[in-house]
Amino acid sequence: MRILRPLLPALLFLPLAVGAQPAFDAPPERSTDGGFTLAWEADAAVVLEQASGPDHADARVIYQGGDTSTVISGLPDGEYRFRLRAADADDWADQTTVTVEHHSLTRAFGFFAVGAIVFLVLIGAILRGRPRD
Amino acid sequence: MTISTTALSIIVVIATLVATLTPILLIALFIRDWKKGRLW
Amino acid sequence: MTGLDDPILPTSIAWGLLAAFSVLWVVLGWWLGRRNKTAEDHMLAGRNVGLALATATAMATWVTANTTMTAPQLALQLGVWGMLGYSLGALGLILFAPLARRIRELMPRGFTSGDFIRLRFGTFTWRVFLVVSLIYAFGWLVSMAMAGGVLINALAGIDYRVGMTVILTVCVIYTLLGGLRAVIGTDFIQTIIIIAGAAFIAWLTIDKVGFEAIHFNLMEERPELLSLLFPAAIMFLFNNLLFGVGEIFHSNVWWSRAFAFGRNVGFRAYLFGGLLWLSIPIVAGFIALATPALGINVPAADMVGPLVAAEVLGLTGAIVVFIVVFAALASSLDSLLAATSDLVTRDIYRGHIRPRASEQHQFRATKVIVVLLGLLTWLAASYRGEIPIVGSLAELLYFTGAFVASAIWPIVAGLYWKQANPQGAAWSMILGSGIGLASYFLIGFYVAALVGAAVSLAVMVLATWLAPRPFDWDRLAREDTHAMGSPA
Repeated sequence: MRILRPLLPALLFLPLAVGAQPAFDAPPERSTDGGFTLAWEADAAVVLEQASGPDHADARVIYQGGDTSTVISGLPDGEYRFRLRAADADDWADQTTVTVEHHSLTRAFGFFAVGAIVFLVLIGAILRGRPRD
Repeated sequence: MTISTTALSIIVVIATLVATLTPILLIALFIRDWKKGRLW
Repeated sequence: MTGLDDPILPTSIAWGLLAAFSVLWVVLGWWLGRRNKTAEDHMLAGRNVGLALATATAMATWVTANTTMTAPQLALQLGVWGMLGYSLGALGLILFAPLARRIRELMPRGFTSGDFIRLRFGTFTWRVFLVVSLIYAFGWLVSMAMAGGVLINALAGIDYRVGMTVILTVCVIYTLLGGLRAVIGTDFIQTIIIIAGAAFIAWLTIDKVGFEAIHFNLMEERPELLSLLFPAAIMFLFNNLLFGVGEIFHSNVWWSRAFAFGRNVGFRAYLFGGLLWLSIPIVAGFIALATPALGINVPAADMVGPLVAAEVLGLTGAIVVFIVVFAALASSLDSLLAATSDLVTRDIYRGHIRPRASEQHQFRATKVIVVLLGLLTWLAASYRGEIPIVGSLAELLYFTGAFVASAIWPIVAGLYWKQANPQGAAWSMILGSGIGLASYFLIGFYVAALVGAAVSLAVMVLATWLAPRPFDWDRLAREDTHAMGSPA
């Protein structure tokens, strides 16, 4: 749909665009649910890459176009590196690292158990209720 | 532990079937209530 | 919406749809309400609503704009468990089925959830309950009006304030004209539109993308979404369930329906409605899982549903989404306006300001209050961002989870436990809300309702065990017959 937008605006404002490199806007540092939103400031189309190693060896382009944010989700534990450049430039303009560390399963099942107990008591209370005794 | 393609497709297809039949069921109930004069 | 640079629906088509459906709802509202003579007709639709309309209104009201937008959002963020967890919200409706029967038996002439709490637990608990109830109702109203404006803006590029004003005005007008009859009648048509639209989009997504591609691409790019041991999603499961139960058990939206449904209808309507509702979050939500397979960018999590629909279906998809969202918004906004104005009329105006108001007087008051509520909602929604606390009302709704979940036990104990302690009921709401709220800030949004419900259960059980106060159930039926003031 809007994945590849024409680069015309970028070319028209070339002198301006030189001064304003794309940059991440308050990127998160860590996530406990494997998801977050990356937002950036940019005057024109950008290329966004994601990698899981420090040297960007396994990097792949996850977005290319004129939007200014993207929702990431479903990542397993790990350190993820993101870098950003203008679509018409060769040099990377900004980068950020996000650490994903999910809640422990012990904690998750702890809350799950409390919820299950409250829920079972609720069902019990409703089923046991006898009208007008 | 990952959900399999089959399990995912079964859940979604059943839900979509139910959702497809729901409007028909509601309209049938409406007609029944209406004939018996029990709409309101 | 951050980053969404062009609308998916041409503005002219959006205006056409908006105008056509607005006219339809207002005309229907007028037509349905033309025979309302008394406040009781207006507020409770004659107390004899049949099964078809009752089931549909329970479903439609529980499908809010939040469902049509949040179900895909949760699927995108919490994966398969998020989607299934959201569908367990239906348990709120299913569990309310026996309560609805009990409520109608105990209070055949009752009007609001406030009536019940006042007669059952006395004035202090009643006031605590009203505070909890009104915070939630107003938060929900404002967040829905805001969602309406934001969605119309994102889908069609119509100015936020204009879209929000149109939706709110239409709902106020037809609720004003037809009362609960208009709300329930329009709900029936809205339910059919919402469910048929969601199913249509789901079938086409299955057909065009396919499960193989969805599964394969998720494994590549967002593998946790398919994991059955996704910690945040596991924590979310019961929290969401208890939030839903709390919303339904305490809110006058659902109580006024329990009073309005015919004898023997309430139980079946809530049960059927709940069982059928189970499928909706899955149908509406799973399309978000197709995002990696379609290779589309999602700039903001709450826009994923419309984006996928428009990608798969083009213009038709955008039109279907627009109609579904408008129907979902209207079906909840109208119910909430009607039920909240009833609560304010009965429990604040008549209960606290003019105890001797006649029936005709209350009839007029209900209408004035609908308009005032609409205005207040409009003000809060139009100055979002400019008044700090209102700007974050959508998030505020999340922590109302602590409030509503702490009201579950006073309601259940009040209806079923003969010995329930009235002070205990008040304190279970106060402590449940307080500690639930603290856990929201200390741990995270996904535990607020859970902690609220757990604390309020503990307080309620402890108070009733230490200081039982026997209650005569017949008092409820005896006193509520005199509650409506003298006939004019």
